[in-house]
Amino acid sequence: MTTLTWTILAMAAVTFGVRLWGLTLPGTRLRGIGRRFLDHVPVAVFAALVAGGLPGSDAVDGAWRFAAAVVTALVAVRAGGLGPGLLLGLVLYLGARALGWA
Amino acid sequence: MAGSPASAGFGAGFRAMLPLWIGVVPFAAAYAVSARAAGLDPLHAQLMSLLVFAGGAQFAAVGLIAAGAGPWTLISTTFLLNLRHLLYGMVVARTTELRGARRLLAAHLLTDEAFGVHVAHGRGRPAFLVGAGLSLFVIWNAATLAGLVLARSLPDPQAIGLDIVFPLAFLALLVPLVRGGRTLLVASVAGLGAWGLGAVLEPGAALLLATVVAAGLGAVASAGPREAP
Repeated sequence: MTTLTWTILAMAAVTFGVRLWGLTLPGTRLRGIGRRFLDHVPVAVFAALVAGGLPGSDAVDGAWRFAAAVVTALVAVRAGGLGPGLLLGLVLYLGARALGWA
Repeated sequence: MAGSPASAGFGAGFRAMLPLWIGVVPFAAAYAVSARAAGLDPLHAQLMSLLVFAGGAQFAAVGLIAAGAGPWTLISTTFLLNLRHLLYGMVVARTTELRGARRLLAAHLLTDEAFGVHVAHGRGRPAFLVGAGLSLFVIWNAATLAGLVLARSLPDPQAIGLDIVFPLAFLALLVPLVRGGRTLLVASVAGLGAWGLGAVLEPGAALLLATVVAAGLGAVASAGPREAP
């Protein structure tokens, strides 16, 4: 095997190991601040992923991406689920791009 | 599999991921194109999608290979970028019992997206997590293969605006979880932190640091009267 093959295998091992480590830790037995910390992880992760990916390439593009996010959030509140909000936000943003507005 | 208690939710998990496919396909194809441009042969490019199965780390690895980085840089960067998965696993393990082969399978399939749809719609259902993860695994690898075959004729997903799929998807998952002042505080600190830190740190490190600070703040703030997280 080549060095690159070994490197990919090692990358796979560290990725798998980190994921398995988390799944194996006794999170169910956590109490107090540790438990409350894990309670807040999903909200924190999702917010960080949104903020990291949402900014646009310039002010106009950013404004349309923000508008798409507002639409997605409103539909998610009203309809629930992932699909409807995602679809409408995407249609708004890609529509604006197709029309040359974003 | 349908109908057995052990597999309850597998199909639901698989289907819950389908809206994200529209964003995953161009990015997996773009990864394949980038990998070829960086000098990886098709076998190694596909091997990375099959075995590492972590989009951000794969893109970073391709960039590092193109820059001439050595094995230890690739491995340590992969570790840093995927360290947040430790938190994902701990959160999943609190509500969902995973044992034996299913735990090993879940560990291979636990991505940002699988974690997101599982927390939002599949808590307590191990088969849901495996279904969601497998859904992403199938499309990520199929689109990687398509990208390797069609390398020269594919557009950059950012250039056509499809990169917005992921933040919108995570926003749709986030909104129903924000149910009071504390969760709003956590979301605000994490969002602003990731945005600010993203300018000076690797994306994975910025996300991890912002998450830990915001969730820690939420944990301290929750020490008083109870509010649903």
